Amino acid sequence: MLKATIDADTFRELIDAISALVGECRLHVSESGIATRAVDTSNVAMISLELDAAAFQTYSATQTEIGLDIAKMKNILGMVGKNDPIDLELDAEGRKLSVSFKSYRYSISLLDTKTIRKDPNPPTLNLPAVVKVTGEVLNNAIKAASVVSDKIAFKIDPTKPAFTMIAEGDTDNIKLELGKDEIEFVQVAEARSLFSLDYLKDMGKVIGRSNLIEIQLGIDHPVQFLFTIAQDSGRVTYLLAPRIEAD
Amino acid sequence: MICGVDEAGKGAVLGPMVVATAGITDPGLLDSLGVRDSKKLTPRKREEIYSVLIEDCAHHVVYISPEEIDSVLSLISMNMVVAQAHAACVEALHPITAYLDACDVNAARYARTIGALLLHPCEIIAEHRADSTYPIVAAASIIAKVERDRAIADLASEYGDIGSGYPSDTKTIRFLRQYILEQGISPPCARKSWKTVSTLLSELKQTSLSDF
Repeated sequence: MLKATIDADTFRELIDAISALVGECRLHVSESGIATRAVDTSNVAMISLELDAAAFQTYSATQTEIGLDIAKMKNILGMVGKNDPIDLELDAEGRKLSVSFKSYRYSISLLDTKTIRKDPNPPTLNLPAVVKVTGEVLNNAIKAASVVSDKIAFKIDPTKPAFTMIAEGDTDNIKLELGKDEIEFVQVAEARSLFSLDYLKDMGKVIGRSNLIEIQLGIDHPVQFLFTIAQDSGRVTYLLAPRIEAD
Repeated sequence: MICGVDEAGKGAVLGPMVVATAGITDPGLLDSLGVRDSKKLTPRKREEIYSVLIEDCAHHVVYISPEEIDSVLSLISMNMVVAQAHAACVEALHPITAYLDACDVNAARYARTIGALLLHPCEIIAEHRADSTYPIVAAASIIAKVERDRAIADLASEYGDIGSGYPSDTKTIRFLRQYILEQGISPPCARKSWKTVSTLLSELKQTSLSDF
């Protein structure tokens, strides 16, 4: 069972965060809120997301699982005004979700959860370097890098300390170095890993709206981005596998 | 003499681009041959007509290897590469009139581009789908296509089935992916500047979360 009201902006944050990586997902509904974990089709990027009941204007639910077509939901949200409250209600069989706002009432067929990939297990990672930076700084670096290349290197030099983002294209390159004045070094350790901008561009659009992103890095290891949504009532973790350059 | 010019393998990811010209003084020559757009003929019919054309027409063929394409594409567009080769073909035959398949959305501009590249000016007729309109361009397209097919056959004897060499051909993509996976680099017969190749190369470098 699920019956809840959420403001459009918060719901949009939730859907955008998921749609950056996957087109459909299995949503776990419980008394305390909703959660999902999904990987993209190539198993390169993972999202883990929790949204507390407190993020909703009203919320009442019992434990259940629904399969959500995220791409369809995103299209519907295009119709909703910025601050319209959205009423969500699951039908008795748990097969349809009604989404109502203003005078509209959508009845959306849910996906059979059996057809959606099982919840992935996150790999056990030891990511020794941790920095915090505003979402805007990170997203701008991703956008700048995309102009010259299809990949970006994240590096941490523990001696300075400095966090460097470098993108090298065929003909041009770009480098952004951030020191103590611009970012917070939570755990200083040497790190350098290379990532595909194809994935980062999509993540960057979501990350860019967040005030503070925690970045966890290692050497030729995945990067983990942790940030909150819905005025801190929701937590998102993005995990992205690196590219390895054989040289 | 009038001549027609056409190319084969412009968009291919594997093998050379072949640009050919055929020149005739007697326009009646092509009528008896059944010369048509090379794409509308069976390979066997193409070969038949090709051997007659090579005997009876003035002709010239320019091959542009994948390496050459890669090295010039950072400086000029692919359309300009084709234009230069078209011009070289026209130059080789000194015709009164040259019929070209226009390699530019603006056919008239293409004719001017070719004109500017010629040392010995001639009348230039550039049109889209000129290979269906003018038998002399169709004749050139047959020569180019047969020469390109032979180049691909040579590559196939070296590498096995590589398909047509076009990115839309699943056999071609399968060959490229397999080669890149085994060798870590693209084969010498591939155009590295093609997005198809760089995408396959980056696929190889991308790890998966299950690797950790």
